[in-house]
Amino acid sequence: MPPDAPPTRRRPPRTQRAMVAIGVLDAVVLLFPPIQWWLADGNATISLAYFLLAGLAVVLSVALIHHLDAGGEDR
Amino acid sequence: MVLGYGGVALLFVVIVVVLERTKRSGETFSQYATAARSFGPWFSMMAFVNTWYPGTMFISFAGLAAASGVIGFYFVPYSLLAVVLMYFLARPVHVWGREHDLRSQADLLGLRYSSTTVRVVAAIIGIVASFPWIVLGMQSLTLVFSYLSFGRVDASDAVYIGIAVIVLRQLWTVRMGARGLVISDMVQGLVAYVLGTLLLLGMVTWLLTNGHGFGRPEESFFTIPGPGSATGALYYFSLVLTGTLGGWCWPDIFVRLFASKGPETIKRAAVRAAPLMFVFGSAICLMAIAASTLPGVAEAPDAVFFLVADAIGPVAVTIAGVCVVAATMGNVGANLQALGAQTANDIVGVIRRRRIDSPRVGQVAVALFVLLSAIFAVSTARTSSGLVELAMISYAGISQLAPTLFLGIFWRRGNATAATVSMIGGFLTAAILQWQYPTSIPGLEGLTAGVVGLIVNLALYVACAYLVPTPEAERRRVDELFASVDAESPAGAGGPPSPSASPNLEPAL
Repeated sequence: MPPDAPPTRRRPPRTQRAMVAIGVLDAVVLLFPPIQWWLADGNATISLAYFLLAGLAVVLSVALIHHLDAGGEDR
Repeated sequence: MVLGYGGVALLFVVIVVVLERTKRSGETFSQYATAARSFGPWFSMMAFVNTWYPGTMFISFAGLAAASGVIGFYFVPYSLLAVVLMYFLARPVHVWGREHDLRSQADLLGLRYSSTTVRVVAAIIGIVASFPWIVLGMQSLTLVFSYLSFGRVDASDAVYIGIAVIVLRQLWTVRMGARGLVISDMVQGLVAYVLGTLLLLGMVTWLLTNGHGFGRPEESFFTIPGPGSATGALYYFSLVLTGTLGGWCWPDIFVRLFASKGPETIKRAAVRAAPLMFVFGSAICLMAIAASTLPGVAEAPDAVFFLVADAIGPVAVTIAGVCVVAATMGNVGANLQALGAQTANDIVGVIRRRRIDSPRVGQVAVALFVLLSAIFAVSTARTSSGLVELAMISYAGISQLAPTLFLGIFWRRGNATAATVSMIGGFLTAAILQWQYPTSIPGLEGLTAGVVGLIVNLALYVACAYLVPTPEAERRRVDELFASVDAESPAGAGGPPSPSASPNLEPAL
């Protein structure tokens, strides 16, 4: 990097990996077919609970990713 | 009828007053197309949600849940995964957009691959796939104006009233561009998704206390098709995957990222959008499933929202109608504006071989799209059916931008040949298969045409990325592009804004 280049901000690799891992986990929870075959198998309570709790978990995970990211303010 | 149509008129007046009070003049084309990259997290959040969830959520999507049960939930998972993707897209998309004055999704792809061909192909796919969605959006108000007349206007006439209202609303879209859309999205979003969620929760309560509920529907209602099922074990997976990846390929959704004033704003918008989308989407599905035993719903599942409202009373019908109109206005307006701006920027601009600077070109393009879609909406008003099926066809096509878009943003290796070959190959594969197999492909365990198109698309992209040599100069240019995403002035350092920093044009509402 040239000496007069603007300073750069990089997240620690561990934080970045954690953020990506949470995103991957979200995809698994909502996309992995065997989970749906197993939990949405005719029982109203379990089936609805899966959709509501899995959705809630992803909503919370977005907040967690943001917490880990802690990116500051836009100018 | 006065109550019902009066409610819509009141919403219309409020939106017009807000727009007129926040009107500005002297915009450039870039400001017309991107709202000058000026909006904060709340406006960005509501603009995203109002663009993402169309009015037909209350109709076709609710209808799917009322007719088929929990499979109707599929749009909630794909919407939430799209929010997760939004978070990761925020920085590269905004940084490249701001530094290179990008105005559309196709513009970004043209920059990333340094290719006019990629830019034009992406623009054409976006326009072709989005156009049916606009027509469907205009027609989706048929039920609204039929119910709001309380029996005085037949559905065959109500469709024309709905089209007229949406077309009239677009006068402000044409004049004010993205900025007007984002501001009106706040009003429309509060009505459609906040008031709408309250109404939906009220409906669920009414249903549970009036002999309906989740224990009444049959067992198949709570089953996702598994191995050996008629639609195939991977059908639900295909729907969610195509929705997630395809969602960000819509030009109107993607361009919302350019309206925010920075990457952190987009991320905060994502954090705020997730709970609203989850609660609203879940409330629609729960209401529709609980209402599946209501008389009339089995015969007309698409009308479930209005059948429940009708059972509650005329005020509920009016609020229901206003919610659908508000959601439809946001989605159709965003689509028209994005397609018009994309046509002006990435087709007219390419033909003229120069960057478009005058907002007039964008306004003319948006106006032409309004006219064209209104003609289509009127001419097919009495024949259109199965909105969800048509929406899925659109998704199959648009999702073919996904490998070019996501790999282009997150992976340095892809080149212009990979992008062009994969988009065209994927689109043709998906279109032909979708025509042959509208639901899912037999022998592939329920995979849809869109997913098979994506597999072909991805294979072509990766093969070309490795096999087609990239010139050293282009490799260096892409490295610099990616390096610019990491480079950033220290947050809150108080230094002078860069020359490209955008003025704060967000209205003080």
